[in-house]
Amino acid sequence: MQRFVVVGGGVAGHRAAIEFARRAPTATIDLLSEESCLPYDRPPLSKELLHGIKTAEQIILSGAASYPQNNIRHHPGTLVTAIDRQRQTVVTAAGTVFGYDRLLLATGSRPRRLPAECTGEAPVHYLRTLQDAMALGPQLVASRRILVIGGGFIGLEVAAAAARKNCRVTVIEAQPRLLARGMPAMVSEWVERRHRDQGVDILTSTGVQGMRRDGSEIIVTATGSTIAADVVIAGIGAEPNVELATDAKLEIDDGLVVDARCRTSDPLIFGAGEVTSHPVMHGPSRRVESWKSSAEQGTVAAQAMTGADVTFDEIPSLWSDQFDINIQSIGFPDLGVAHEVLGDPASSAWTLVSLGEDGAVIGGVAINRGRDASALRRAVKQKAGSTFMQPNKVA
Amino acid sequence: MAENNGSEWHALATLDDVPAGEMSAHEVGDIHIALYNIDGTIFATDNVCTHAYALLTDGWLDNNIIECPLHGGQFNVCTGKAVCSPAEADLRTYAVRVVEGRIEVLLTNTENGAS
Repeated sequence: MQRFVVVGGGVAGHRAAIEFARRAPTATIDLLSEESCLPYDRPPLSKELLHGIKTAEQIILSGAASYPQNNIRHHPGTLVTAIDRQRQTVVTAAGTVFGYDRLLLATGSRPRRLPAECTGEAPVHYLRTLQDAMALGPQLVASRRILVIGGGFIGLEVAAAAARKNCRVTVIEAQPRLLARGMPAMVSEWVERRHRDQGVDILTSTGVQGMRRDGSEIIVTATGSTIAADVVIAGIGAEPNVELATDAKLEIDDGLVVDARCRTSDPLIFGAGEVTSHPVMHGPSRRVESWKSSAEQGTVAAQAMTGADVTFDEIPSLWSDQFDINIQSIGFPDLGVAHEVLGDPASSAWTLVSLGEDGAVIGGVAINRGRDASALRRAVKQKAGSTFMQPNKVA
Repeated sequence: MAENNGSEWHALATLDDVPAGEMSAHEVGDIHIALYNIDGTIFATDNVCTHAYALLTDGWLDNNIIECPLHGGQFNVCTGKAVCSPAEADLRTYAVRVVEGRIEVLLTNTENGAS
């Protein structure tokens, strides 16, 4: 009987467990998760959960509630501390040993933290887990001063949620523009205008130098200004959870290195999700922070681990919902050497099409134009020119 | 036209309204329904994505797969099956018949609000 062990209860680990159950019904499947609850959907944490329109129970991932019927043994609250590659076992903090024939590392990533010398004793929220969202949600109370450190997608989604709740919101970003990592400047400028229209105060080229607590206030010293806030949230990027893999001497390069078949440098150990650095669009390997990529890679890893001849070649894509704005980024819009625009950027719906040196579409950003996101996905896949981006008819 | 099981056929469009390869959006009471013409056969599903609120007819129809405009989830419009993340739950489908060029969809009385 084959033994599959999955470390990590995010969407990649969850999808892998479901796929193992489907493809190898007689195998033993152990899903080890540090968190104490069933695997849940993370995108709503910064959206519906903060807005209070979804509860924790409503974001449990589909299929997680029926693990027992599908022969999946879920071990919540289980921290894996070591991998013994010779013995083919993993050991937990509680001392339990799980033997494996194939091991999947889907340990995900964690929020990058501000250095302790910067935050001092001041409480700073981060947003990655259900627990984080449950702690932050009740803090977003009307008229409170909310300071968001980091103008990336997470920071902006939190800012939008807080503004919706009539908080007084300030976003500070160390780079000269919002969404500097991954988005072309045109998108950054458009998003900044939208947030300002909704009353969000935005300070770019503004780094945090220090913080202190003053009664119930937090006083933040930043480049050129001092900001008093009631609540501080930092969204300054993610770091891959590679410690287990590093200790086990698996190859690491920024993330856990895997090939297109999700194999690490140990033939019995595979990787999936945000922890991995994998080949993307037949180009160099990189880490991709995307729910969709993680979900698909988890499934592909389980297929590869059960003997299927598969490769993971998902085009990176992500979405962000802020106020009434739906942003979908496909491929690598920031790597475009030229861009074309569909629709009117002065309006609320337009699309940026990013072209590579050979004139082929390598990515783009669709803003409130979902059909263009679908077209971009196909154009990138087919390496088509921008003429591919024709409007698709609806009766 | 009442059926004996408490369901009723509702005419939503004519065949001319939904040419092959295209789709159309309809509302019956509170229900949003999408009609699709797949190689000459008409299919009907709920028009609201099961993942988040968006009308599927604002999305991209590729053969028999509809891709949601909001987050790229996909469904097979013939079966309602969710086929691509982040869509997980299947779409509701409706029985369809064509009577003298009119496309009719079968709804139960509780769905269409009739008593």
